[in-house]
Amino acid sequence: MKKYWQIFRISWQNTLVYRLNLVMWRVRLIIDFLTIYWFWWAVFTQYQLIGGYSQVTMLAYLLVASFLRSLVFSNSSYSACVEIANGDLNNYLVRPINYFYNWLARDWADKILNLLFFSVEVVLLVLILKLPLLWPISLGQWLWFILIALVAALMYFFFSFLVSAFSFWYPEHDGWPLRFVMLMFLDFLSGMAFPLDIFPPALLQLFKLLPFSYFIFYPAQVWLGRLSFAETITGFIIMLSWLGLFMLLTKLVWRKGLKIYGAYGR
Amino acid sequence: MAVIEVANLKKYYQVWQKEPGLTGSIKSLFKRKYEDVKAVDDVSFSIGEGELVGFIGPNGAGKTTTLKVLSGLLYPTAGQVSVLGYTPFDRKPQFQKQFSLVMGQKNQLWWDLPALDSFLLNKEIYEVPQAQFDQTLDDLVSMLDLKKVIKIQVRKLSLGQRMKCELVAALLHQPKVLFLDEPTIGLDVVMQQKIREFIRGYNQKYQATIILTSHYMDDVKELCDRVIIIDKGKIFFDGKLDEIIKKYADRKTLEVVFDRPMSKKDFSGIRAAKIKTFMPTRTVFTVKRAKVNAIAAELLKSFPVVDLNITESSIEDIIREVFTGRDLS
Amino acid sequence: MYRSFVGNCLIREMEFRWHFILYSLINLIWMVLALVTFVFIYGHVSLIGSWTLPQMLLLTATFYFFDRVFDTLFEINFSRLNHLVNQGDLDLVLTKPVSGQFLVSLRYFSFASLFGAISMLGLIIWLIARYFWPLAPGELLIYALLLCFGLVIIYSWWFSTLLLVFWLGNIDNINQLFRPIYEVVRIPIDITGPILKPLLTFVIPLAFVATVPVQVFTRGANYYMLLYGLVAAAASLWLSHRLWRFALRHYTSASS
Repeated sequence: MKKYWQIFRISWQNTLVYRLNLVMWRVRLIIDFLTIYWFWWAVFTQYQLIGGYSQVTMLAYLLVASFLRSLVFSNSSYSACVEIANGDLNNYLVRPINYFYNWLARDWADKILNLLFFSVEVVLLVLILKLPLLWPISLGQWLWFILIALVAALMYFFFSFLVSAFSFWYPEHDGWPLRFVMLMFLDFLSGMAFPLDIFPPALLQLFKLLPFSYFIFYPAQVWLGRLSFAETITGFIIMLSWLGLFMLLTKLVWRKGLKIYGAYGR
Repeated sequence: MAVIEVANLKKYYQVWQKEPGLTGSIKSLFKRKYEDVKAVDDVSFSIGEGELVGFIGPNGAGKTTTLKVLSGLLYPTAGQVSVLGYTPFDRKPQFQKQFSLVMGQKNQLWWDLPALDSFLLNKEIYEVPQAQFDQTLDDLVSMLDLKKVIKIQVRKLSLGQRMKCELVAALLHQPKVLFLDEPTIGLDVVMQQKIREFIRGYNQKYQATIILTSHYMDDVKELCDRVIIIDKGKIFFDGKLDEIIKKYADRKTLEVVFDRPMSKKDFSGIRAAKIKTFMPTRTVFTVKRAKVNAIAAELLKSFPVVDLNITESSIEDIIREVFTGRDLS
Repeated sequence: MYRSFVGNCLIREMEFRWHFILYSLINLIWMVLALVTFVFIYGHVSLIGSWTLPQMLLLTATFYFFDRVFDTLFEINFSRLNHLVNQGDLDLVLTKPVSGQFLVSLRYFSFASLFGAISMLGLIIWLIARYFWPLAPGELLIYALLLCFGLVIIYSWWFSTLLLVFWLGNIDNINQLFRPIYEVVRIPIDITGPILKPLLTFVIPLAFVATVPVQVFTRGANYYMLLYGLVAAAASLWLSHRLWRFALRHYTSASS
């Protein structure tokens, strides 16, 4: 396993070479957060409760969603798109290296670096904006949250691979159409910018069947303690089902994709 | 047992014809007209340990495709392939640890980091013991004169230095088989020479089996005893280089520039020179090897020559001759 | 001359026709979903700050319209500047008899975003007709003028940040540096608090992108703001031009 640790390290160093890009990305996330914060703050100056959220809970939601964004999502996972499209995948296919573990290592290098930045940002934001901090009360809740957050990250790992694998079939422009569409769904259905409770109950039920809400919204609900035990378990089952499906699809798509790749090469 | 055995290898691609324009794109979603491209069409050969073989042929001949099949990147449409006793497309780790593929136009080095970092990564990937790694690295670095270069970001290196580093990265695990695809492409003449010397030296020192593809005749001349000529997916010649040169490339090309317009009639006196291309002030002749110096001297003496250039027949010329079966004598 | 630029670009982009159609479509859906989200949010509230749903929709539609128009005019050009400066191709541009800044900024026209711009314009017209009619005389004109001022202002500021490539060398994404700052104006500026509101309205007058123009319909025409917009636009443009010349001096002295 030393090889994957080495990949982690080299990935880490590589990201640091692009320091400015990383900083720009973090600045972008902070400004995004602030924009949404001001928006909801203004909403709550006139209303006490919206969709079951008070000002305090809403702001706490936004904060934990921010954390989950850095933990669950990652940018490096889409580099597979590019590698498959331009043939750099060859470098991995001729070597005794497992492409997935390689990718997992790169993914976590990206995530940990981002989380480090986040930990500094969150302290600053909380102090300057005097943000309310809400956290789980019981140890059980903490453990649940950590477990679910990690499963969400794993789910996203396979999900982003499936999106990237579109490059096998559509290498032009690195397979962007599917990525574009998926990013759009993530924007609106993952709970990234607002809790999904603002949608009417019928729609919310539908969204809860889709995988997107399990990246941010569901883990955030667990953190805030807003789910009953039954709801937590139901959510977890749906989440695991999606994870299982993604894993299965990944296996199939990878095999099929390699066959196509092995037919035409790049 | 031969290190590399290829029997009746075929690699066909199916491509579809797309008509230009928007209607073409829509049509291609529904009905596609498939066409077979025969990249490799019934190729067989076998290579023994320590051999340094050149694959030559024009662009699109099937050289790179063959290498890709031998490395396991592409699966054969038909035929048997065996390298070191393994089927390449199975991609077994034990197999992968024993060979290397270097493609002249593609990188394996991490672009923004020093080459040394990529070397260390390869060390881990191939599970090379530290002592062996240190020794091999030292060896290669001194053979290629890279001491000052390996700690600089790869993006800042010249093309030649980058190519050298790619070679080092590929050889750290002392592969028994080395596939080199166009290793000297884009390099200047001096660098090409250096790379060739290195490959020859490496082959002799480590007894590695090396297949080299190129469309530069000089690469092959300098390095390979044995050449395989490929064109349009078929092998046209497999044997010693001397034979080809003797048999097919017994003419050299003489390019002459005159300071005033000439006509074809002016050259009718020179029997041994055949005109390849004619322009009033610039003419290209092909002349039998033995006579080339004499003809050149005569041209210089009798005609207002401004510039004169003697080169080998290009690969394209040789191959063209080989196919049309025309004897160049 | 600008027309010939546009013509050239149309031909290029038609080659990527599928790409162009697909991109326009997905982009449009994205914008529509954003607007629809507001509808859902207003299912719970009737006012955000002082903004009603039609007003918020108009603001958002205005922002997206602006964004698409801006992209149409400048997206390709901005992303090329890095390349021009660092591969030395800038010299070719500078030898032409037309203003360097003009050439560098407007050479390429991106048709992919035009479709989105037109769609948003349609939506804006519909919203105004449905919720803001009848308008006082001249309000529409002032709205349009303020948008134009906003365009010049954002262009000037964004362009100025790009000039960093002259000093910092090859930075891949320099054209994205300003984007997050500019995207703050998605939301009504008057809810951003006592410090930011004047900052973003007067000092770095980004508010002229969406908030100030839409306020013409919600609060009536404010001729002071119109005047300030004109002054700010002229000042920003002038400033960007000075910085451009400064950067060029540095460039020519560095490369010789």
